Amino acid sequence: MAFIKKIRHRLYDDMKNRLKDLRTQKAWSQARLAEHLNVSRQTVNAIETQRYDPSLPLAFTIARLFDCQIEDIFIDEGSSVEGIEKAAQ
Amino acid sequence: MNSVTKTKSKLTPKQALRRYFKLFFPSMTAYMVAIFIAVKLLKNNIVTGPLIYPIALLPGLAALVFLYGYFRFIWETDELQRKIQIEATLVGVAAILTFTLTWGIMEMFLPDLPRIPMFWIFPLYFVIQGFAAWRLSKKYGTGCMMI
Repeated sequence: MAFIKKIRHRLYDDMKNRLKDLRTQKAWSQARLAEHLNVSRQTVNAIETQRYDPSLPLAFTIARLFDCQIEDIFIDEGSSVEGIEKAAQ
Repeated sequence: MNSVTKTKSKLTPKQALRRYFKLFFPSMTAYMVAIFIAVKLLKNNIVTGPLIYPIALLPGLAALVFLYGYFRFIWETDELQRKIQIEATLVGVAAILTFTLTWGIMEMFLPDLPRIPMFWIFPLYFVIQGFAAWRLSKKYGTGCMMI
């Protein structure tokens, strides 16, 4: 069970994001942001509360909307730069 | 909506849900009417001959229309709802396959076991799928749009 929990954590729980900060900076409600992204308000809420990681196209759409890079919004805390480089070798 | 925020579906999730219900209620009504007609005409032997086949197929056709509307909703809604519905579908399929396999094997060896008519698979699947969708919605901290 501990192994499964570890895998789940590795797959789903390592991504953090700054979507709420960016949204509040623009003084937008979740519903307004959802309208811009063409998703439901519940989806925006799930992303902001870190319960759901968006797809790559939606992540790009969010980045374009706030005029920044994906990496500025989504932070993968589970993998370090060294780890990625090691895996690529 | 400008081109920067354009996504795959042209519909908003709410529009997709409205489109789904526009097909759901007529198809379910047609299903119930077709079941009523089939039972009335075929069980009482009012209709005989080759005409019994199209009459017996009518409920299945109504169910097919409902399924078309359901899968169209999955395609047209937003990605989180799609994920929830697809995961719930997997749970429903796995549960129903396991149940029918187990029950089918038990039927072979236990003659006293009641035979379950196959048409129960369809509603039973959607009860399990609906429950799974509700549980997954709680997991993702969102309300299930279908309930």
